[in-house]
This record gives sequence, C-alpha cells and structure tokens, in this order.
Amino acid sequence: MGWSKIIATYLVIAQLVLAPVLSHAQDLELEGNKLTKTGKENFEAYAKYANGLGYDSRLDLPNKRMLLIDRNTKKVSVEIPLRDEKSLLEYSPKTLNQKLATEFIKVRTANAAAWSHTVKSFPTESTLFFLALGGMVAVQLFTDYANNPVGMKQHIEHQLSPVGQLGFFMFMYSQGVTSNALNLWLKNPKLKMPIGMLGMTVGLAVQTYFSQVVSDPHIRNCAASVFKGEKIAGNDHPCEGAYKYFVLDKKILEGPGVASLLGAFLITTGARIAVGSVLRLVGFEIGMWIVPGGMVMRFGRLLVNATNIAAFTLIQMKLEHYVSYAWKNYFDGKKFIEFNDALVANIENQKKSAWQSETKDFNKDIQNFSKKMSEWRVNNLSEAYAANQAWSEFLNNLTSMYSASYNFYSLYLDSLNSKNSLIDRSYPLFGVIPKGLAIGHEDLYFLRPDRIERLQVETTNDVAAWIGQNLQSGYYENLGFIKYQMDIIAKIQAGLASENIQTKGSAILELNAAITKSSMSSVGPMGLSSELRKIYSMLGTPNPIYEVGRGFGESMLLSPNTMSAFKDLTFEKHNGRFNTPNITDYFVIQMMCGPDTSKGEKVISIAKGYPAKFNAPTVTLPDEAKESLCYGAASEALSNKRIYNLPFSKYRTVPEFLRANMNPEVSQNFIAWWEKGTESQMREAFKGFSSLYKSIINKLYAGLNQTNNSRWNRGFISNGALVAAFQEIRLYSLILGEMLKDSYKEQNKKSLPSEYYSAQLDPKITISAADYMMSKKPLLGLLARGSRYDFNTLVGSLPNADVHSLKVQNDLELSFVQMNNLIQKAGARGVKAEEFQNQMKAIEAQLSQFSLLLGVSKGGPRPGLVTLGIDQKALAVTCLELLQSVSQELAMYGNMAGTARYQDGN
Amino acid sequence: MKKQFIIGMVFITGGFSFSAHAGGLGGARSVREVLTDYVKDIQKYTAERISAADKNGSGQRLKADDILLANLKLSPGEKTSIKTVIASAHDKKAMTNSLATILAAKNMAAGKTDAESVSINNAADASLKLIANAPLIGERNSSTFLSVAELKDTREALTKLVAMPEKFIVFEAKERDSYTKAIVKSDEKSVGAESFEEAFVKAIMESQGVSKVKALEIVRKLKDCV
Repeated sequence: MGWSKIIATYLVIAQLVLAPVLSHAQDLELEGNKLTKTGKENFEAYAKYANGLGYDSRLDLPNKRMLLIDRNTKKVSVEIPLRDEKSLLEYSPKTLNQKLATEFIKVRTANAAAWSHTVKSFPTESTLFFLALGGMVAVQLFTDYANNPVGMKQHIEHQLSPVGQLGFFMFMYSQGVTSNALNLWLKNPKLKMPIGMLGMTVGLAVQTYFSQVVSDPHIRNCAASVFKGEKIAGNDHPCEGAYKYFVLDKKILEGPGVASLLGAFLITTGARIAVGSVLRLVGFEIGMWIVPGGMVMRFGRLLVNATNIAAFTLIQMKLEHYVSYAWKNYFDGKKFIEFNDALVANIENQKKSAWQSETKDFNKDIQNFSKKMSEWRVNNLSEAYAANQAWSEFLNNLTSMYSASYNFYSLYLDSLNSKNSLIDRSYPLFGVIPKGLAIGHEDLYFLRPDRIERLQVETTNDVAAWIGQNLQSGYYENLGFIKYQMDIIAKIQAGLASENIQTKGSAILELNAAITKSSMSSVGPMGLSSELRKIYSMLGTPNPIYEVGRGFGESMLLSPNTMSAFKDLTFEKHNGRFNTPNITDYFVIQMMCGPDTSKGEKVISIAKGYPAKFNAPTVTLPDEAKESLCYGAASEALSNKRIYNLPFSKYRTVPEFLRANMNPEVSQNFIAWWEKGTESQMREAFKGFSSLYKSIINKLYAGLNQTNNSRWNRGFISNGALVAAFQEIRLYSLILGEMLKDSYKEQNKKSLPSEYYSAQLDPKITISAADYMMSKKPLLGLLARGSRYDFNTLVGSLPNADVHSLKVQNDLELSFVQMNNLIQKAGARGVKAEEFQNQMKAIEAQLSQFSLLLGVSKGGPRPGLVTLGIDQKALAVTCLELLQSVSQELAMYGNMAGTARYQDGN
Repeated sequence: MKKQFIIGMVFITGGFSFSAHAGGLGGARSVREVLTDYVKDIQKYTAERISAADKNGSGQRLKADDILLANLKLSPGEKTSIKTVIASAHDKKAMTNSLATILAAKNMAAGKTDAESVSINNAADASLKLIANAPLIGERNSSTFLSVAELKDTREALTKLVAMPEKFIVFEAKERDSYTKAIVKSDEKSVGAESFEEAFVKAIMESQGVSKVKALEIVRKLKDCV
C-alpha cells in the first residue's frame, strides 16, 4: 500500500472518529511547559503500560511529545503528541473536513455518479463493516501462521483487497497506543515491516471485538467466500448479504465491542498530514470499495487475476489454490478419461498390427498425457509449494540482512581499528572521473582511494587546461561574460589547476555553489550557468566529501564486489537521530545504537505475519551520548552528513564514538564475539522455524499420499500425487511390455519364453464400479489399484485373471516402490541427496534392461529380443524417457521435504 | 603447467635447476615434504568448514572466509582487498584453497629460524601481497612505460600468477627466493608506478639485474605457461 493511500485512509477515518480521539489526546495535557497533574498521572500510567509491553518511555517536553522506545531495537516506535492548543488546531475537525471536502469535490468532478453514491454509503456503519471483515481476515492469517508466515505482509500489500486496503488499516489504527507497528510504518513507508507487538495487538482486538464478529455467521460466510472460495448454500452473494445485515439493518452497532473500539486510535498519528493531488485517485478508489456491489465487482476481478501466480500474495494464493484446484479437478479430471480412451484405442490398434503400424499420434498422445499428469500433480501439491515459497520469503530478509551485517561489520571494524584507516580520510575529489580507469575496476574506489585520486587529479588538470585555453582564446569574452562572471571561471580554473588536492576540492565546491547561484541569478548574460554545468559534467559528478568517515561508506557503495552482499536489502531509511539513505550509514548507526547482545538483547524480531527481521547489534559499551544520538523520530531526523559531523555530544563523529566506546570483546576477537551473542540467537531462532516447517512437510505428504479423491474430481487419476505417479509409470511399462511380447511372438512365431516372466502371479486388485461408469475400459483407473501388466485381461472383462507380469516390469515397479519408500523416509527424517540420486540410478538401470530387451539401448545398435520398426523404436524411447522424468520428479518431492527442514551445520 | 611455469622462473633465477624430488633421501622429511602433507590437511579442513558453513547460509560462508583471513594476519587493507578478490574470483573455491595453502605454509614456518623456513614464510607473504594487489591488474588500458602489447602480456602473466599464488612455495629455495624478491619489489614499486604491470616489469629488471627486453621475455614465458 502506498503512502498516499495510508493518508487517504487516515482522512476518511479522521472524519468519522475525530471526537473520541481528541478526548484521548487530552490525556497528556500541558500547562505552560509542564504536564498538568492529570497529564502526569496519565503519563505514568501510559509508561507503566508500555513498560509491560517492552517499551521504555521518554517525555520530550521541548517537542511536546511522549516517546515509546522499543527496548530491543532501541528505536522510537510510538510518538504520542502532548495536548496543547496548537496541536488541537491541527486536529481540528474543520481543518480536516475542509481538506477532505476539497478532495472529494475533485472526485465528484471526475465521476459525479460514483461520488454521489459514495457519499451516501460512507457512514460509520459502512466503515465498521469493512473493519470487521478486515479483522476476520487478520484472525485467519494469524491462525494460519505456520503455513504462511508472511501472510500479514502479503495481506496488507495486496492491492486488490478492499479489506486489506481499508478495513485492516482501521483495525490497526483502532489499537491506539499499541499500534506501534503501524505507526512505525507510517513514519517510514519504505520499511513495510511493522515489528514488535503485532501479535499482542491482535490478542487485544480479539478480546474487544472479535468475539463479536468472528462468531457472526454473516461475516464468516463473507470471509469464507472471499478467502476460501467456499460456496455458501443458498447464498450467492454472501458479502452483500452480510453488508445488508450489518450496515443497512444497523446490526453492527448493537454489539458491545465494535463501535467503542474506534476511540483510541489516532493518538499516535501526530500532525504529519500531507495533502496533495494523489488523494484524488485514492479517494475515488476508497469510494468504489464502499459502494455496495462494488465489492462483488472487485471479487470478479480478483478471480480473473487469480491466474497470475507471479503476484503471489496470500489472497491470490488461496484463490489460486481453491479456484484452480477445483477447476483442474473438474475439467482436467474429465480430460483424463478422454486420454484413457485414446490410449487404450492406440494400444489396441498397435496390438492388432503386431506393433507395426505408425505411432505418430500415439506418441503425441503419450507426450500430452505426460505433460498433463505432471501439471496435475503440481496442482494437487500447490498448497505445499505455495507454503514453501512463503517460508522462503519469510527467511530471506532475515538471512540476507544477517550476512550483510556481518560482512559490513567485519570490513568496517578492521578498518576502524587500524592505523591510517581509510575511515579517517577525506575525499575532496569524490565524484570526479578517474582518468583512464578501465571498466571493471570500480572496486578500487573503495580499496585504493589514493590511486583513484591520482587519476582524478589528471581529470581536474585536463579540465583546468581546457578552461585555461578558453580563457586565453577569449571564448568566454565572446559569450559576453562580465568581469564578475569571468572572475568566477578564472578562480575555478586556478583551483582545479592547483597541485594541492584540497585546493582542487575547494574549487569544486565553488563550482557547485556557483551553479546553484547562477541558476537563480539574473545578473549578466545567461550563458554562465550552462558553461559551469559543462565544466561540471566534464569532471563527472563532483561532490567533495570532507566529513571524516563519510567517504568510506560512499566509496564502498561504488565497489561492486564489496557491495554484492548488500544488494536488494530493505533497511530503515531513518535510524537513531539520523536519516540513513545509504545502507552504509544505516550500519554505522546500528553499530552505535543496535541491540546490546552482551545484555542479552535480541537481534531478531519476529512479528507474526511479517518477514523476520535482523537488527544488527551494537559494538559499543553503554554511554550517555547514545541517549541523544540513538533516539529520535523521523520528523526531525538529521541529514546523514551529520553522522560524521555530530551536532552534539562530546564526540565529533560517530566513528570517533565507536572507537572511544568499543566493547573490548569486539576489538579482541570480532568473530568470537559475533558467534557468542549474535550467531547463537540466529541458531536458536532457526530451531523454532524448523519446528514450524513441519506443518509444510505434513502438507506436502498429505498431498503426496492422499487416497481419497476430491469431490470435484470427475476422472480416475488419483488426487494423491504418488498414486498418480504410479498410474503413469505403469502405463508406460505396460506399453513397453506389450510391445515386447507381441513383437516377439510375431517375429518368432511363439510366445516369449517363461524365463522372462515373473514366477509370481500378479496381485489381485479391487475394481471400482465408478471407474466403469466413466469408461468401458478404465485402464488408468485399474492401474491405480495395483501392478498388473496384462493389457488384454485389464481392458477385457477379466481384470483379475491369473497372469504374470514380465520380470523387467516387476523389477522396474520395485525400483519405483523403493523411491517411494525413500520419499516417505524423507518426511520423517533427513535423507541425503545422494540417496535419491542412487535410487534414480537404480531406476535407470532397470530402464536400461528394458531398452536392451527392446533393442533400443543408448549404447548403440545392440540386438534385443525383438527388432522394432522406426515408429515403435520412437514410441519405446518416449516411454523410457518419460519413465525417467517421473523418477526425477519423485526425487524432487523427496528433496523438497529436505529443504523445508533447517540444515544445521553442526 | 608447473613445468612450463618453472621455465619462466628459471629465467628469473638465471638458470638454477629444479629437482622434483628434492630432499628427504632416507633421512628426516624435508620441510617441503611435511608441507605437502600439511597442505592436504588444511585444504580438507577448510573444505569441511566451508561445506558446513554453506549449509548454514551465506553469512556462515563469509565467516569461514574471515576465519581463514584472520589466521593469515593480514593488514586491514590487504584483508579487504583479498576479500574482494575472493568475491570476484571465477573459482572462489580455488582461491580459498590457495589461501589455505599459504596459511599452511606460514604455520609450517612459524617460529623457525632456519633458512628454508624463513624462505617459505617470505614466499607465503609475497604471495599474499600479490593477491592483495590483484585488483590493480588491468587498472589502466594504456601505459607510458609499456606498449599496448607489452601491457597486455604483463597483465596476462600477472593474472596467471594470481591464479596459482601458492605454487611457488614448494619450489627449490633459490627459485622461491627469486619469486619472492620480484613480487615484494613489485608491491613496493606499485605505490608510485603508473600501473601494477609497470611495477612488475621494473621489479624483475631490478631484482634480477636484467634489461627491460629480458624482463619482458620472462613475462612472456610466464604468460605462456598454460
């Protein structure tokens, strides 16, 4: 969800519940520069409450606010404005209403009909309806945590969900003080990762109003129809029904919790309301959601979009799964009957000609069948696949931030603790093109700034010479430059030509200042600005860095091989008292302000429903300067340049602070310190994840071993992926066997000798009448029930006649059974990848046996028991290849069970 | 490759012979023999460590590299440089193995004062200097000291040396020392030189007392060993 939508949502809510909010804001009332007696009491009560939730409280009277600081992350999570006249005015209903009205007028101009409808449908009750639905979704997501740990994030970000957009936000807002997670997000829309108390927030919510809505059948039906795709008997539009029941009949106001919960929520929003043209759009969108029937329309769209797997959000996942599952069962299930009949006809046709007629269509049918079967199995396992993917997302953020932190800390601390550290260097020529530096050597910006600077000096000399030539040739005079302008150019030229690097840097600063000034100035001919820009671009993008420590991070950002660990990371753009637009700045502040592992503070925060987050630890000892440097709100954040030019405290720069307060354990042995306090926490967290993974494994195995078919399934391919795999395996083996037996008989005028047959009779199978209802010759249905390989009796009226399979068929079947056993074993405990590989080899060996008998072995033209025609050879090779690909697919299932388990290095 | 490489080194040393089976004739095992076993052990140890670390996520892998680098007792600048060399290496495992071997050599020679051990330790340090300077190879596409072709030849020779930095350590002492001299000299010269290639050629000239033409001949021999 974009920032603009959050604001819009805020405005909508503000209008509805302004009055109760103001009453809460009065809790912390100021008189002059002090809290009133009641205000003080309330402050203490808040502080005590927050303390129990893991927050330290600070009263910031000069800025008229109370801050709640997350004890683990040391970050300001909640900011509560103190009430005084000025802030009251900012919350004034009149101000807000005016803003809202202005925007809605714009909407009206854009679409008069929609607007008028929206206005009518915009009362509190409507909002509450969505609120309740949003809450319902939240509950579902939390209860489904093990299967989708990032469900809440997906839910919030989901652009298609009306409840995600409006209802959930209101739900979160409604939690007031405890909605710190959202508040943090509000301050930092890029973060997208609320942390901390979300679980608790929902716990509270359940107590207050979920007991009311969760148990209500109307809401349940509506949520079930949206998120589970369930059909509600006798109710085609359950959400519309629920809406009517709650909103039009005003039932929603009758319950105890819902109406009252809106009281507490706006405390933390402060006065940072941005209004702009963006609201026109979002206002319209919100209006559309509120329109009765609008939801139905959006559901329609949802269904269409459900085919887009790439988006992969929770709702899509659910819809994708339920919709496509039913769809595939219903239509593909039936399709397999057609395949069955076509394949039976093909085999009969070949048998009639003693496997001598053409097989082009047969071959094509088999390949299509195989493709469809593979899709079928994926569909039947899609829930497990999706859950697995959600887990990867959950852990990806955590592990990538962990490695990046380690990488940065290791590099930075090495340099910090060394003599002549690059951290203490200034970079007066930063941004100047290093003359002649070959492409692919950008690492040198960071590794060898001295060498780079030498090349940069060459560039400045070249540019100085060029300007000097222009000055001499009268070029600038010809442009009509007046003396004042000529002086500027001459001064820059002299500076750039200097042998002193600092003087060169000063000249660049002067150039940059002159560009800014000349673009605003109207004195003299207008060409100066463009001439200065020409000089600027000849130099590159010059931006001298004089603050000690800043250039180190900036140059690191230019070094591809140093930065590779930090690519694609999401981090907070505001950290402590500073803006941290660069990840290097962010880490420098973390080194000072991160959690203190020596005190057992946590480096991993896990909020239910969001990706786990790693907060890199502090490397310093406690110090009073941290108080002023580590706690601050985004609204007053200092520029990142100030990290290296501190506005207060006894240290001039953060690196200086780090050196002065370095934890001796870190400087003595960084790796040991990291292992002890940080890595140990990571290991511990993974133990917890590992147990949660188990539910995915269970889901995977439920899908693999399913024996009862879905009621949507109109065919006889099993919903259980393993049974379905065996149906496919047996079909190919059956075709190969029939081809061998019939061809031998035709070519030798006698049956295949008994030595090639198994001594055992084929197992009896139980025959289902339902199979015969679907097809007269339900070959694939029969193959699901056991390993029988005699085509005539299977499709004739004697599927349980006493027959013998070929030895090679039984051996092949056995090798696949062993693969199945391995898969089952992997579900319970670890199976090494080699074991699957070995089993695949064993299957391959059986396939080689078959190919030798048929004379189609890969090793070259070796005579088999039979001589096949070109068409039959092609068909046999297809069957053998498809058997091999099924064995690979099965091995993959086993590996999936393995990857869903945490691999402990010990 | 080793044989051809030695031909290049022989030029540097002025024609000393190289015995493939030096030392250890019935008596105590030579330093080089012990070293060979030690190298095997440490490579195995590193491989196991890295394999365990890979299972634990990339952060652990980084740590495994770090432990290796910490044991090498490098300067922060060298350590950072070598980290980027590992990160950019086509074959990271080979580079880590080379470093493990150098570490083995250093441990082997640690605290010993006999000529062989000192020589091995110096060669190991020189190899580390060479790797730390690797990011400088090819820094510029032109040179005032070398022609385009000479620059290219020298770059290729250096790239090959970086890919096998541990090999010199098990050479005969004189060959090894010549190598050490040339590399240490290159490192010193690289500070003021226009390019690392220039520094290398000049280092050969100076350390071996040969002309530029002869030095470039040696460079080409090194380059052509495959």
